[in-house]
Amino acid sequence: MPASALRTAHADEPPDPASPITTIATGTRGLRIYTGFIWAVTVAIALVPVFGSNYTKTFVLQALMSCALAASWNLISGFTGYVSFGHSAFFGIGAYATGIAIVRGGMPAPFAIVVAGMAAATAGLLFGYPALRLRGPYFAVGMLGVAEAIRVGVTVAEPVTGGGKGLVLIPEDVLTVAYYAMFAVAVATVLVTYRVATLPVGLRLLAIREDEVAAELNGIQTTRLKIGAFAVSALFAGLTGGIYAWQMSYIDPGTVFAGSLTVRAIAMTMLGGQGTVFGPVIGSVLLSGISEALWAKFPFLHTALSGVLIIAIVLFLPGGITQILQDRGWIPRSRQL
Amino acid sequence: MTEPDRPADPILSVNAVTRRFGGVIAVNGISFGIAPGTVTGLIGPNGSGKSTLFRLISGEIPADSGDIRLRGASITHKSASVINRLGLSRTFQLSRLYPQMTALENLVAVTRTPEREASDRARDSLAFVGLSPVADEFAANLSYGQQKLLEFARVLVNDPDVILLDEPFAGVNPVMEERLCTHIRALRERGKTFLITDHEIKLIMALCSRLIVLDHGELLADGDPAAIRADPRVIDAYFGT
Repeated sequence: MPASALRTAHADEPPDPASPITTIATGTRGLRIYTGFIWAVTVAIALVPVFGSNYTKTFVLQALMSCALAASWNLISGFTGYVSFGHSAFFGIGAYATGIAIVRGGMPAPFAIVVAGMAAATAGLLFGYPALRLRGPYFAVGMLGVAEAIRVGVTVAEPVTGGGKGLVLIPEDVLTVAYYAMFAVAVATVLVTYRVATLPVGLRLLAIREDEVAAELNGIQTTRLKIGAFAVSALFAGLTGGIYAWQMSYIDPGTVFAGSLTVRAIAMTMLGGQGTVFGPVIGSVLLSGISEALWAKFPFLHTALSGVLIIAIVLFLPGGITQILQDRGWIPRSRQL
Repeated sequence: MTEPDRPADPILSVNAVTRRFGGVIAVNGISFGIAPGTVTGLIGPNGSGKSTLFRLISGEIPADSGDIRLRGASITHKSASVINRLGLSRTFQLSRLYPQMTALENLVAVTRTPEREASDRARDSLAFVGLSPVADEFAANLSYGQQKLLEFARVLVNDPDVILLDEPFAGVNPVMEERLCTHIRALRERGKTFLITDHEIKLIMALCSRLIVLDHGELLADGDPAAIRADPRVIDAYFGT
């Protein structure tokens, strides 16, 4: 992320008249801390394979996976307000596309992961077209149904997918390479989100969230935008699933289509801030860390405690940490954040 | 019914349009044409079909039968976004701004120009309605009158030919009313066409060169304000004594 990307207008300088995105000039000191945190986390993550143990690498890899999934969920659900409970479908499609391409097609892993992204994006286009005609809870439940239907379909298609027993990939020691691949996908997802958020197209997606009928009546081509955002969101979820399958060397329907993947992505995005650029990053860093600490401290209770934490986030932090910092004037109200 | 002189080619024409909601006929076979560069008022008691007609013309809901044309081309089965892109834009009875966006962003979001021009276009629209000082304020924080003006600016940002204003004066103080009237007149001078519905009859009478009166989903009268004011059917249905 270039430093200039997070630059904000100061009170003593006129706003850039060409900039379509508003930045309100408050909390510039807080902004330095905020961006400092993001940079520190990014640099630390980049250095983990150099100095960290295999345990640390595996933990951060999972956190990066969560970050990429949360950021990709945020692209459709955070910006347009179409809350999808079936995001794990695209992660699972990516995982199985990679697995099948490697095991059945003999394809090298990097190409298989690209295929995974394309397969998930195509599925996003195919399912998005009908599903995005639904709104609110109907869309949410509809996507839950899509994820479940694909899971069942993969389970039934045993000759190709291995069915309920799962699919064993060629075991390789790829932890470090997979780590950087996941890091690249997470960064790419955030960069795409940043680009979307700072262009008028990001405002159009937010307009859909605010009032879709008014958006349509004001000439915004809502259907095309929603499907496009859905496909991009699915693309990154698919890439994430592909890298996961490659690194784990084994996948099964119950794991890669698990609803808990979606729930965690939603909770992380809500914690950091929906419809923001760095909200999913902050949410995934914090929630991954807290979950790991709970697991270490309360090995028999950590699942229940994580559930309580997610409920607390929904109840007490619906706007997320980013909004709280903005409401208190600690960081600017900027679409760049 | 008094029929003022109109050019042969209306910019907007509504031909025998009907819309039912269950057993209720909200709009029943209404026909009229609007000449370009005019301000026309659409009035009638509550439930007379004004808002439904606006929704039909702007493509928010489809007509059961009949035809709506913009510059001679049918828009009856076009989507709302396509109709807007063809040059017909509208405001709403209750403002439908994007509250979590700033005034400027509300306009940039709908501007159909390249990215670098979008901000300039949006700032021009804000300046036209006098909202430049609140460009960076969230729409939710604006006063009701400012929200009405912002919605008006949002309509103007893509330079439409036909503008539908749904109760633009409702809940607006006299100063804002006068500002809105001034803007409408200025835009009419630039060739814009307005169809306005409102219950502020004095303002409508002063602003419009023609009035269309609806009652129970049907066209009751169509003429210049003086003729409408004297029409006994309109007096009976709408003005009272």
